[in-house]
Amino acid sequence: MKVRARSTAAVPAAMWRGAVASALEPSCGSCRYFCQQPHEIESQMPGLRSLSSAHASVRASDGICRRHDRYLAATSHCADYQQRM
Amino acid sequence: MTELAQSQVHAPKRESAWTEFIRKDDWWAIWIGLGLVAVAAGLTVSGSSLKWLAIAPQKWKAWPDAVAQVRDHATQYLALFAVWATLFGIGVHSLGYRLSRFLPTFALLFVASIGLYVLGQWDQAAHYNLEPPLVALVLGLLIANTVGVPQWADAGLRVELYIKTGIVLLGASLPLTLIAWAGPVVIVQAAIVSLVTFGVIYFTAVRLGLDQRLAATLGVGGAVCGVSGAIATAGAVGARKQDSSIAISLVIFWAILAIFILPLLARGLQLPTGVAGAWIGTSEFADAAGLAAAQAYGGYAGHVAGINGTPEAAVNAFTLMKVIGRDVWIGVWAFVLSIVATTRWQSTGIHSKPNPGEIWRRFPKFVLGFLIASAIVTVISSGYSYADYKKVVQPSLVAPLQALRVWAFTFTFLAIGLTTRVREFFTGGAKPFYAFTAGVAVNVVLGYLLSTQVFVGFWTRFGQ
Repeated sequence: MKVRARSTAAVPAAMWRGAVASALEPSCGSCRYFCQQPHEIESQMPGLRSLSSAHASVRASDGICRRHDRYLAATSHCADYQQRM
Repeated sequence: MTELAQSQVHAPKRESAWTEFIRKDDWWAIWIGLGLVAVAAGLTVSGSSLKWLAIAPQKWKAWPDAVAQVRDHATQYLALFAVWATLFGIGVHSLGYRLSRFLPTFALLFVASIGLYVLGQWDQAAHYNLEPPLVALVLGLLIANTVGVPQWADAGLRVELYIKTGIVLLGASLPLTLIAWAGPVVIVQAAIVSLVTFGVIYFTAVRLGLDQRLAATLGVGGAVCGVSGAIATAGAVGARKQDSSIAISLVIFWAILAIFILPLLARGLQLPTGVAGAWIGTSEFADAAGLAAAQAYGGYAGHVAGINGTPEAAVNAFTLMKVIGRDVWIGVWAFVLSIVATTRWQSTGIHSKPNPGEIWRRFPKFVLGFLIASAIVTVISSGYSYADYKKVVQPSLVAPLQALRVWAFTFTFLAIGLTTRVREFFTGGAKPFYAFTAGVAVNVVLGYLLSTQVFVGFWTRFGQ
């Protein structure tokens, strides 16, 4: 895979662009592959409920991407996006 | 498919800001904890008290005395059950669980908690190492890993809701001035340990050939906030689901071991309660597990020769170290690592945009409840002389809230054991285990040195 190495100086600008674009681009939060249900997350991550919780504030709105099998922020996005019906 | 998806415009699904207040256990801990503090404060100011409801077993020597105590106060225990079941029931129902599943589980949890609380008041309990947190944990682990616990019982075993409510109530017994006084030491000590532990775990993991996202998830899990830190980081950096599970299982394994090992080591070294609490707060991996260890150690004060300080000091020092020193920085860790992941690490094909707003979104909100509870009691206490504080505020306001906090913690300790499955440990192979264990070793030694050498004067005074 290709390594992405951007200058850190570009980060604030990228963050600003990201904040504006997040309302326009399709993102995980509305993707059919993305699971944000706390009960489902706890059942797929054994042990989570023992010393934490999928209902905790620290989780924010993260969820599990069934397409990529990754645990992601809801604002992430990728080329495989499909809108949830 | 890709072109179609990219050509469409869809706003990300966001729940309203108000939804957060009823969908997160942090907020329910605040509503329940501060609600109890407000009622207790109102009753105290009007000349009454919550102490009838906040029943706590008294010291006993012979078993019939213990039974008689419970029988004589049966009405109060029933009332307390009704209040807890109502408050937690509303919270759990709002989190999406059925009351028909919560109530029977919580009823059993409450009955078992009465037994543990009473056992802890036996005058020989410390002699036989029968500290309620440790007994609760062992009992829960035995049940969960032998006969098993049905999945529907999850509704009544909400570790995080109980522990966060207990921590909010704990704020009522810590003056805001004490928190401000301890703040700088707490933050410096926690920062040193967090940065070093993260560095050890992260670089060991990378050196062993593990993925950077897994290394970071393990690092924050060990250095900052246990399982909560691990999942916050995993989401921020876009780790594999499997990485999160590996980090969770390692945190739980070491956190459970540390519950037994740290109090045992501190007891062997005869550390004062404040110093031991600070060490546990620096070196434990999870709030609930650390409070079990700190409360168990506090129970030795006055019962085990050579251990000085008050029982409260162990829990207070732990909470300041863990909650104020480590937990509150979780959003900052997640944000910084999300920038690193986006700009420095190999792309996964999934893109994310680091946003400083994540620091607040991932902030453990129950800490606000802890500070507000402290402020409420501090303001009320400021209107009394020291003599009147001891005569009125302590017995009428602080003591009942302390008793309610012990109940909430007892529910927590039982629930930890009942939700922990030993077979879920070691799911990720040897390398993550080695990396995490290297961090554990450094964390424990460094936490010991900082608490017993560098800041020993501060923590000894804190415990007096």
